[in-house]
Amino acid sequence: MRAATLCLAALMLLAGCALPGERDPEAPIVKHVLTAEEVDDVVREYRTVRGAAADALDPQPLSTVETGSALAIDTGMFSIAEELEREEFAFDGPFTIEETYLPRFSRYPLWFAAVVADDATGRRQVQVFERGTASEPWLVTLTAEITEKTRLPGVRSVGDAARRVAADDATAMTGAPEGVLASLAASLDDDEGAAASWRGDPFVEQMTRTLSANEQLEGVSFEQAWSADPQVYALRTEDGGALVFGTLLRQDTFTVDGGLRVTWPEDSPQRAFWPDGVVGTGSLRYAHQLVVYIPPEGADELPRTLGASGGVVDSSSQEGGPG
Amino acid sequence: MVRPKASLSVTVHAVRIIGWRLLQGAGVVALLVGVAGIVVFGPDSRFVSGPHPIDTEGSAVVTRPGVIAWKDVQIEVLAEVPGDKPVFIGLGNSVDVMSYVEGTERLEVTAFEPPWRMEASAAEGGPALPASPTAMDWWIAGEGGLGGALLQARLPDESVSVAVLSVGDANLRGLTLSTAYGIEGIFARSIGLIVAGGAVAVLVHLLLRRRPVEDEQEVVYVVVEEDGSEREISAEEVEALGEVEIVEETELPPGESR
Repeated sequence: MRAATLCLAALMLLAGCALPGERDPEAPIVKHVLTAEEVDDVVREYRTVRGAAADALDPQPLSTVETGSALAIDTGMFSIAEELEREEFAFDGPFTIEETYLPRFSRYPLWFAAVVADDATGRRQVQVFERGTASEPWLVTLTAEITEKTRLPGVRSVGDAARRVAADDATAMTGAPEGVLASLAASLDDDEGAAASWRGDPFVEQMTRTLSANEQLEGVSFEQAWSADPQVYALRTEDGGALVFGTLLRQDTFTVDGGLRVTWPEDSPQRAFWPDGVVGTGSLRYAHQLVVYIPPEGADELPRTLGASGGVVDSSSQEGGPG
Repeated sequence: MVRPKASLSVTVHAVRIIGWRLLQGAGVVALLVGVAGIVVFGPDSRFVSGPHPIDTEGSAVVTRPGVIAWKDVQIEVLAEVPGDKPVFIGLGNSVDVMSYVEGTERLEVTAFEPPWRMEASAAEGGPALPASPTAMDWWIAGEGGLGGALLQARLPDESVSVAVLSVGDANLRGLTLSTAYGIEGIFARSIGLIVAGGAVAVLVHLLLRRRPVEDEQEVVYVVVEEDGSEREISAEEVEALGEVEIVEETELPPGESR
């Protein structure tokens, strides 16, 4: 009889436990940005719209799925492709989402990042999607290409959400995300102090080669200026550093000696914007979207770029330069 | 040789009795809770309240984050407006809902206790919502209709808000709300609590009635004769002997007798 009594007591307890309860009043009011299935839908929708735009070289639909520098880069890319009469790759076929970084938020805007591999070409891109308000759609705000061999560092979690880092937070790191990007821009702007932190960086070396080539143009004075876009996204890595997604802006200014006209090769972006060349002064503005790793404080390594994509976003020209 | 029961056994038995009595008390409480469940929720496991008029001229009525503090409860909210005005009612994560209505004139429910006690304050904003609520993809549950809409949803374990929204150019003047709260299977569970709780209370009572001697000390007196033989004597005989020498005290395990 004692055993029967205890069994009934256990059943009684189970019935009581099944009653609903109050939520923890101290629990934060947050939203997990998306589920993995929802990420798949968002990426698929983006690729479908961009692919259709690329096939027609019509940038108008892009504004429904892209924003900011990402939109400007693709719009510029389409203009160049149209002028040079070449195709632009659509990236609209089968894809694989290799990794997702899904933070949680207490208020809008929301954002998340994903590593998306195009199955047809094997090309891999890190893409950041942002939603400004609850009534707006998801828009790509950054795309940076990474190589097949690139492995991004692991990201820390808060519960099951990726842990974010504020743009101005340098806690336990060699620098805050926005400061590190500014340092990168400064090093490209010929700031020797900043350049030491980026010696040997592949993106810096590539841009240095471009600078050198432009400086060798005969009859042309060339100037280049760099700055960092204030829109920065950052995640805390498992080693205490940060994975940063940001954009650098670049302006190339060509001042042609009086009486001269400078033209560019058939397949160059400059030819697309200045089919008749430049007399006087011409400027091209670029946006470069980057993935940057910031090591933790005390680490024996420097910040470095892990991926990049970019292109011309705007041009201007003015005749009647130095006489 | 006299053998009294050790004092430790008394303590153990007392604790056991208290434990059984507590279990019996829990059974009585469970029985009462079960009765309350049946009375409040009835056979359909729902408790209904309303309709209640809501005084607003705006386009939205929303519950502030944290006002809905329960989880795993089935709720029904019926929103009705005069005429055939289009209306939408939805349940969404509070971060989504508050972002959506942020720039719109609205009534914010700041406190709510079921079945119906509500406090609210007006918030300023534009006359219209930024986009049609039916176009939003983040609603956990939502329904629209002309003249009324019924929301049926189970509260998840996250911060959620309920929003009643006008659609198009209409506002929510004349809005009434009716609510129903349900707990899945609460009627059956209440029956179970009554049966189990009542059975536990009765069984514990019977158990304790069968074991009255556990409260008493049992002492057996044995005298050892000079030839070494033992014989049991009564407590009166011990008393008649006067002073005695206690040679040894032993305790038998419960249930065992010499």
